Amino acid sequence: MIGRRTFFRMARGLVGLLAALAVACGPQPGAPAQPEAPKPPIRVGASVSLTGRYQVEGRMTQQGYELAVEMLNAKGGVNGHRFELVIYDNQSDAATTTSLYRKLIFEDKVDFLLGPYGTPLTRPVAPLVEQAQIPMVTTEAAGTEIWRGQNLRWSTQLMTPVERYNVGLIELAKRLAVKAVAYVYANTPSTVQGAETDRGSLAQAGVNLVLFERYEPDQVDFNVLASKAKATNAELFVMNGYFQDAVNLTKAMSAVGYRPRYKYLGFTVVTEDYVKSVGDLAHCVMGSANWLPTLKTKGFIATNEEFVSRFRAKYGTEPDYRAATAFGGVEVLAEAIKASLDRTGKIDKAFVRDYIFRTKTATVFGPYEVVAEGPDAGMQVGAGSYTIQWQKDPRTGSMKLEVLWPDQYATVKEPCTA
Amino acid sequence: MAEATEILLRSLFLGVIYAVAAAGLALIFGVMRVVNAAHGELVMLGGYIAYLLWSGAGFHPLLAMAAATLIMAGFGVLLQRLVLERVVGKPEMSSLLLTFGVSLILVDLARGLFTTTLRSIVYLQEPVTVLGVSYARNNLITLVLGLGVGAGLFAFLNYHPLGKAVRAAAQNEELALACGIDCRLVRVISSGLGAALAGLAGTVWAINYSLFPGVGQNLIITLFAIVVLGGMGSVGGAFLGGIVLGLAQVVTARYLTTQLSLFTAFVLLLGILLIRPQGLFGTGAGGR
Repeated sequence: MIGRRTFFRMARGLVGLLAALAVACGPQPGAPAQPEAPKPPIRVGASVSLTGRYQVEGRMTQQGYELAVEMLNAKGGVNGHRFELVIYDNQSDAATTTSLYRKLIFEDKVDFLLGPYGTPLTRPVAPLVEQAQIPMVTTEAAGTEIWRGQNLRWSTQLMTPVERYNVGLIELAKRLAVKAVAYVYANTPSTVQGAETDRGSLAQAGVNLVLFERYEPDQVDFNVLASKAKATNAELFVMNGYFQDAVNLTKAMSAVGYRPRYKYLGFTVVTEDYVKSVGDLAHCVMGSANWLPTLKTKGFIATNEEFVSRFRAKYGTEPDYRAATAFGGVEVLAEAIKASLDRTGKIDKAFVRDYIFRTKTATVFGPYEVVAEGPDAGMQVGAGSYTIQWQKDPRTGSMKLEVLWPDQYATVKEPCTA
Repeated sequence: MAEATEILLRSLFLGVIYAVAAAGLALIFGVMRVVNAAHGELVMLGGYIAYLLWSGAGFHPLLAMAAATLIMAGFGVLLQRLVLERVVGKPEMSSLLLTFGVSLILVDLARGLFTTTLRSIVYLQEPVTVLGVSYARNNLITLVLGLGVGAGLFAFLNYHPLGKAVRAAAQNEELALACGIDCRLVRVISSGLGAALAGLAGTVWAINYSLFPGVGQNLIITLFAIVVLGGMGSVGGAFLGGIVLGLAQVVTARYLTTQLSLFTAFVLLLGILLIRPQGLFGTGAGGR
């Protein structure tokens, strides 16, 4: 028999032993804490044009997406959730794009979507996204017909709408008291839409449209058109078309000796390639830009300055507006997911959807605000454009890109004239 | 008077570019009966070679043009020996399919090598006034060069023994062989000359307009229309067809609308084929 005293002594000893064991097996002072299980990644799907007609633009889109995800993950992702990109090449083909988004949604079961390059490739994807009810930020579609009157609830537009490309042109025409304008434009849906908008705005501004002529996108020789514009004596010449048109028209205007006081050749003349293609003829040519590398914008992941320098370092080339919008798309999505995690404790697709429709925020590309509800829901209303002009530096002889409008970003007060 | 001169000069300027490119296509078809769907890509390659020599190696644009023309002549010879010779005497659909494949390969190669960024040779863009109307100096050089090439081609085909051999082989290969003409050599020369003309047209294109890998694909339909307009395989007909098309496009853009100027090519083609199914210079029996 064990005596009572012996029993209590043994019990105390056992308790002491267990306590010692517990201390021995427990975390040691200064030892690292047990690592938490990694949080599941957030899978984001997109198809971009890596081959085919839009391969240059598509490459910029892909690089913008990849850089944004890399920089986001380097900061720890969104509340510990890393972003994982699933990207396919759509060969610049609308049917391939649609089937790839179907694959992303139904086979890969991605959590969120980013858009492809261009309005023609984005348009057929939008109904599919509505059906699947997955939030999608489109980054490279300027055409508003995708949203206007369509009652979309799951896709938003980040790119500056095509109707807003030339807002600065109208402002400048008013400020410079332009009386007559010769306007030529390419026969494509977005440029026709833009030209009609500009026609109304110019009429409202009291500017006389002395030539309003359309040309086919394959037009190469513009000598006759430039000669017709010259005959009008319009002080402002406007082209709403594509890069090749801008290059060929610039040459044609020089060829026929047409020197209007102001030349505005749309949204494609902002690149260095334009200057390389036309040389000194670029002097005093105005145009519009959706984004500039010098802008002081800041998004969820980076400032514009950081984005530009990281892009140069990673890819050895200058980013353009397409890379900036792609980067911005990831920023909007990441910000919305963080809001969902912070406020609901989970990644709620409906919350993310509501957030991307209702937020007023900014990305490296610029302001982001869409129509929150109604038939035009999702259409971009925050992003603007900048009016630029190439000016030859008299000291160095090199061409410099100046900003004319909006005033807060202007680097020169007045445009130079031919 | 000034307006008429302007229309004439602008038509000739545009027309000779078409004419030089289309003459090469007609020559290859005339001698080999090969429908060269890759001819637009030969124009594109010629332009890129000149561009690279000008921008990369610092060649004067006219020297780059001469070098590109010679390089393309060599390319044409290789193309004939390695590819086109295999479909000589075969149904025309065979040559069409084969050269369509070559076209796709060349476009993809160009995309890989030169990217899709537009390229252009900046040369003599300043205007000069002729009879009260401004023209770019490079437009006028193009015009003189194009007309010179046309005259040279005419002289070669009509007076030089090799040119006569080319015409003989084109008219009747068996008879030419019986007369001791080396028809195989004639085919090689024709392909080299056709590609050289394409190379020249490509350089002129890069100076006056701009280049990208798909430029030949855009151009080939117009070139086919010109060749049919002039009479299948007729080099002189193609040359004249190019100038007629240039005139039609300029007049349409000037008096109707620019939008219809490209469409004009096909209306003109349809109209002439209704009246002369063999084309302007065709004989109706496949003559050249």
